[in-house]
Amino acid sequence: MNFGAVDWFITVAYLVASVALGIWAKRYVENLAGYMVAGRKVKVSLGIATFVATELGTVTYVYYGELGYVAGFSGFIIGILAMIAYVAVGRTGFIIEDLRRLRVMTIPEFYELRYSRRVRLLGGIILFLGGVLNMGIFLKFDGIFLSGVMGFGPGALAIIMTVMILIVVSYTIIGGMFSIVITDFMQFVVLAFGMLVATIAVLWRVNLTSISTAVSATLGSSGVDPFVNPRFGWTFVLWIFVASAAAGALWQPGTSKALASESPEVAKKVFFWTGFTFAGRAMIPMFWGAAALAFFGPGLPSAAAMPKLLGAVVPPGFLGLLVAGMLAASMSTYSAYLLAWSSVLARDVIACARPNDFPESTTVFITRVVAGVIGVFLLVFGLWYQIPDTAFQYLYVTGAMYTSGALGCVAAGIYWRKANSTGAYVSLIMGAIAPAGFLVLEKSRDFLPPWLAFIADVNIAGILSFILAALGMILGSLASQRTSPPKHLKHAEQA
Amino acid sequence: MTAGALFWLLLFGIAALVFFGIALVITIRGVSDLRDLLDSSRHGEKDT
Repeated sequence: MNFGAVDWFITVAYLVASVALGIWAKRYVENLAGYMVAGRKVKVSLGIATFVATELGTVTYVYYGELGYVAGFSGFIIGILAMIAYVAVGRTGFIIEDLRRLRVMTIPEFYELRYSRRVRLLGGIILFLGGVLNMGIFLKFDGIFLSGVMGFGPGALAIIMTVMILIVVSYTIIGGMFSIVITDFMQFVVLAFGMLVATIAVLWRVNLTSISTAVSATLGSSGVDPFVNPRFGWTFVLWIFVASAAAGALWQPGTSKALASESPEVAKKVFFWTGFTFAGRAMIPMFWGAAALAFFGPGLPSAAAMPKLLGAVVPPGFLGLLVAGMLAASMSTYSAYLLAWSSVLARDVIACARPNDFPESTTVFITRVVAGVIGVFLLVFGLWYQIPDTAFQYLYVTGAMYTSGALGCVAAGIYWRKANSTGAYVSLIMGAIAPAGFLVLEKSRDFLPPWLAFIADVNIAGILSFILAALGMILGSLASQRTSPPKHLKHAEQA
Repeated sequence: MTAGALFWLLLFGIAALVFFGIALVITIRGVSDLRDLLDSSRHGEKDT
């Protein structure tokens, strides 16, 4: 075991402080807007802190660390693409500015304003399924990371996962977005400090020349050139760029930061400045992974190599800080995701199955119950599901189930007057087909006929989902302009 | 060290500096934002 008494003290103190702070924040929740979007009062710096904390979980470190170990520096391109996409969304206000102006709390709410209540229901179901499946592997990766760094071994996985989910579910259920914003800020400070400690420790023990030599010797040119690396290539680069822009504007846990902002202008600034951190968000853990390749050599289980390196190079005492930082990263991500998906199920699926909305107090109650149920699901799913390919591609392809259709529906809904509900239905369904096909057929790729083999390629399934969704919106809308005239946003809604 | 590796390591250095630089600024400025958020919410509670 790598953990000493000081490490334990730091970790337990951090966990107690998180729970206490999260529960204390309940006093600020006055109504539904307070619970779901913190009363729309979040300013720039706090918005950036909560956004970065949400988008950086332990799972992020693990999948990027895994890529650094198996692909060397060539995976760094992902950080550059994400940075460009998020900065562009922030600079232009693409989608987020209009959504914030419309004062929606979830993205499917826009579907009802622009299309119909049934489109909102379908969009809510797809968003919820894609989102929860996407989140399904988080706990497992967190368990792998923490048991590797702390030195417990895989036997402790279930216990670590259960403790973490219990803590996060408790304060998310109680305090909603207020708890999330307040705990996120503390978690942001702790996780940034933990990352700094880990980076210095890695640089202290593994020099840059040995990392470069290990990458060249093990991977050759595919370790530095993403277009030569068989894991990536042009299809991958194109898909990740489009997916990053779509996720930047339309991934509910992230977009909710724009929706919680003080104004549309603040929302743009939050996205713009957060975008600049996205290169480091990807490259720093990938660098740790490449250092693990130099330190241990190839042949270790890819997801476990980087955590094992940190467990070996970070000195006792600092290890507690690092684990607290990683727990902070995970908890801030879980809380935002739990609230996002439970809000969607409560407001956009359960409520939309009825002719009228629930009263606010009932919506908050249902959201809390759903958050608890999702917590139990995550625990069960995370323990038994075997992740296909690398975690990174799994996360992007489950995300694409929703973001591709949503990009078609929301972008066309805002910027194209001819977009109608038929186009929205087709776009949502077509966008979900390729990723869902991949998730199902990937398990039986050996039995696929040759003409269908492309669907088991994660990069093709990913980019195809965006192409099909866009085509679905355009062709579906144009073919049904008479039978289903476009509904336009009212001025009052846009004010 | 190859030119490709040097290129990526240089970019990594810049990205890490930007990340930790923004983190430092946000840590300092975020405290006052957090105070404003809690104050305005408390006032809102009294007003209603």
